[in-house]
Amino acid sequence: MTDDEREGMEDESGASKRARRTARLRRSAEEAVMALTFLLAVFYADDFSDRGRSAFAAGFVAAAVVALAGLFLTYIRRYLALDEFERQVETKALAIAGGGAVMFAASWGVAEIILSAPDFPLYMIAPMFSIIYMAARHGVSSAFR
Amino acid sequence: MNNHLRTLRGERGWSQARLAELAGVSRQTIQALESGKYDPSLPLAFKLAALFKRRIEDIFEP
Repeated sequence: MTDDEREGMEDESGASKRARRTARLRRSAEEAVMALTFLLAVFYADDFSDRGRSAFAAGFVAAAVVALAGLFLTYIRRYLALDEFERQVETKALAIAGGGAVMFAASWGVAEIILSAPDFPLYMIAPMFSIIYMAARHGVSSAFR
Repeated sequence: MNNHLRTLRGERGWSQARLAELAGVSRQTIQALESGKYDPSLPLAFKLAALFKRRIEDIFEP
């Protein structure tokens, strides 16, 4: 930790720190629940589809779409609450994650056509984007410290 | 861009959190500004200048 960071951390009140930590935990919990709902819905939709129960499968597909939309709306709400510096960090991380996800999917598509690589499930783009985004966000915010 | 935010803040005995609260931004933003790694928008520069009762060019140097 740099002197700047230490100074900043020391002068923040305990109540303020607790409030920030609580907000961060709540946000992470919301996102984790929706991400888990998405993955479970995809799993069960696939399972019911395999067993020929298309009505249940359609219900779980709808649940997956709702979970994804929920994740998206949560993110938009969070983004709108950020100040200009935080938005700059987020925007850079999103650009890197978006570019990374598109590049990976396109590269895999080429490998599928030319090398007969196994199909890449399109629904995995969302979790893959999230992973690249988390890494990019960490890297971008570290650059400003 | 260089700036005198840390000095001005110190003169007033404000913490980074306090200045962030007054300016309506996060503490991380103040930290990034003070370290010179982030240049503020014009509205934020005006807000900081008003808080310190200085001109923008007295706080920020190109």
